[in-house]
Amino acid sequence: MARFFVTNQQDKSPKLDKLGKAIREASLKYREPEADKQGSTPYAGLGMAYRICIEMLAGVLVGCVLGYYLDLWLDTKPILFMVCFFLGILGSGLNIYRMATNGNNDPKNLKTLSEKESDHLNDNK
Amino acid sequence: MSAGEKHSPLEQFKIQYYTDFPEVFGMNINFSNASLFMILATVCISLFMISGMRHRALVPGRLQNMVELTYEFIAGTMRDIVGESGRQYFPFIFSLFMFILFCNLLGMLPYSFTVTSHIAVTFALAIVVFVGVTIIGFIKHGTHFLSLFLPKGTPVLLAPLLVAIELFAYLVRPVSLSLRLAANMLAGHTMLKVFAGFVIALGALGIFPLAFMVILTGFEIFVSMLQAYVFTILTCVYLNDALNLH
Repeated sequence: MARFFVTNQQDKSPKLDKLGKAIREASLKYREPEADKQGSTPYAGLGMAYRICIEMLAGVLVGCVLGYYLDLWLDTKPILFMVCFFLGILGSGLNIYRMATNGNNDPKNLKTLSEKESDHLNDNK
Repeated sequence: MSAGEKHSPLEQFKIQYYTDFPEVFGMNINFSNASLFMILATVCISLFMISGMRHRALVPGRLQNMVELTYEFIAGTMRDIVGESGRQYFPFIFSLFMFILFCNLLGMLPYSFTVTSHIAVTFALAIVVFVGVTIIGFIKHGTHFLSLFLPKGTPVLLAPLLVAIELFAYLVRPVSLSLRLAANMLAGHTMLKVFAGFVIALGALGIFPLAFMVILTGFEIFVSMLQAYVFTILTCVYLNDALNLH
């Protein structure tokens, strides 16, 4: 009966070392940066709505201010202002798009239609 | 009660100076109510942290538990978003969070002044974060940091336009960061003042605006904490963008 509880230290320590190393490597891998888990509280939608409104406003503001001062500096009166205005809107639109897709899909995984088809081509084999 | 005296709900945001020094190199160095409340926030944070950790018990008591909770909250958030490479920036992020949180919450006390409702204060914080994160990115990656503006796999024809759009999206960040905090605080406190005016103006019916003010005060406390959290989260996200380049 006692045989089951006797541990032979010389046999076990390489296994324990390997186990320790595996645990350490796994814990390092676990600490990768993940997407922020902000969408869990019931007011999360309201928070995101505030953020989107402010992003839209800030985009227009940055575009107009930058465009106006660049125009003043380079003497290209209305052109740069209009260009920067639209770039500001598009820039804030990009930020809003990133905010909207960050919780659900990874935008890096967005594939073209042909890639999606070739993914499913081998499904029934 | 003086007749015809109209109190604007925006009067609470007026800066009042308590001293009268002359200008130094064109800068106004008088002590204002904003300075007073910023110092008060710093003193409150220091008292909270220092007196909480005074006993250094292995099994924490109530105050030490609260201090450890806030520490672990920010540390856990940073670990999730930035990972191991951002650990050295924890003191800054923690100070930022606690300062904004305490400034927002101190503004909820009656007769106090909300420091973060002024764009000057929030823009100063946001521009420090923005410039700091950009400098960190350039120090760590050199000119490769500019690859942040060109996502992988874009067709060559679209590349200049996309770089311009990404650049603008990057420049919008400090403005949106500062504007969000200031606008939320400004709107919240203005609403509180307006409904408080209704309570007096309606006389006996003023019980309804008063009940609404109770709910609104609770909501404002929630918004104060949420806005501090959102500012900190976005700072961590921008730091992660600079450190790990997506």
